[in-house]
Amino acid sequence: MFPVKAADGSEDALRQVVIAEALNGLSRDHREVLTETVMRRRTVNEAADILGLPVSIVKSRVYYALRALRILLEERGVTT
Amino acid sequence: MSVEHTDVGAYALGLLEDDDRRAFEQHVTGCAECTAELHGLAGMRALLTGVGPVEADDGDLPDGVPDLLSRRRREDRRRRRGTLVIGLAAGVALVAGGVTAGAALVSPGGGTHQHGSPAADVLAKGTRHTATDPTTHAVAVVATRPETFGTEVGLDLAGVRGPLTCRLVAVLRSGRQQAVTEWAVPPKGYGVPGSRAHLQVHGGIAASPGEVSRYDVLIEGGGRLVSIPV
Repeated sequence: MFPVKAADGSEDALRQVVIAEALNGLSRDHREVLTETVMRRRTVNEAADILGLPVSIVKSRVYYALRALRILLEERGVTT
Repeated sequence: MSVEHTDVGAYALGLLEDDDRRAFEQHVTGCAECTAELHGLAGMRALLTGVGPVEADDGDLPDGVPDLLSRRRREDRRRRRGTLVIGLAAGVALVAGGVTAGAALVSPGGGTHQHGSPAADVLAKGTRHTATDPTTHAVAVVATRPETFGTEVGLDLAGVRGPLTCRLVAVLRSGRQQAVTEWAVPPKGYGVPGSRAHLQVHGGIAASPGEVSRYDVLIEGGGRLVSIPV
C-alpha cells in the first residue's frame, strides 16, 4: 500500500509513514497545534504566544487534536 | 489557576508549564475521568515526540501525504540503508534534522556499522513498549525478544539531559529486579534540542519476557527517570 522500502525495519518504516499520514489527516488547526507544541518541543504557553491564541484555546485544541489523531491512528491499525 | 478536563491532553504530552502541571496533577488525583483519559493518551507522547513537524511545504495541501512520502523517499535515498530500522524515535531527526542527525542516530557510539547496533536490531524487531514520564519528560522505548538465556532488551531513550548515570532494570512479577545495563548521560543529553541523537543501549536478563512486569530507568543516587510497563 505504501511505497516504503521494505528493509530490515519495514514494520517501523511503515509505522512512521502511517503516523505521518494520520497527522496529515487532521484538520489544519489540529495539525498546527501539535506541530507548534509537541513536535517543536514547546509548552502550550509558548505555542500560544507564537499562534496568537489564548493558552486555554491551545490546551483544548491539543486535547481534541490528540483525540482525533488517536482515531486516525486506530483506523490505520496503530494502537497507543 | 483553573483546571479544565481538557488539560489532560497537554499534560499527557508534557506541554504544561510548572504551575499548570502541578494544578493538573492535583486535579487528576481526584478525577476518575481524567485518570482514565490520561491512561488512554499515555502512548501518544512517545509517538509524537518521535515525529518532526509535518506541515506540507505549501501549507494545507490536500495532497500533503504524497508530498511527505516523496520527501521521505528522497531522505531515504540520501541516507544509508538501515537507518530506518531504528524506528519511530529516529523519525524526528530524519524528517526534521536531516542527514547528519540521522547518521548520529545510526551510531551514537561512533561506529559505522550500517546495519545498526544490537540495540537498534532488537528495537526494530522486538516487541516494543513505550512510556513517557510526565515529570522528568523522559521518553523511552523498550523492545524485548525472547532468547534461550532469557530476554534480550533494547532501550531507546530521549528527552534526557545529563550529567546522569542511569541503569535499566527489569522488575519481575515476583518483585525481584534484574539489571539490564548501565550508562552515563553527558550534559548535552539525548533526544533534546541541540542534541537530537537518542541513547540506545542493549542488554539481557535471565528471566523470560512474560516474567517481567515493567522496566525502570533508574538514576544513580536515587530517583527514576521513567518506568515502562510491559
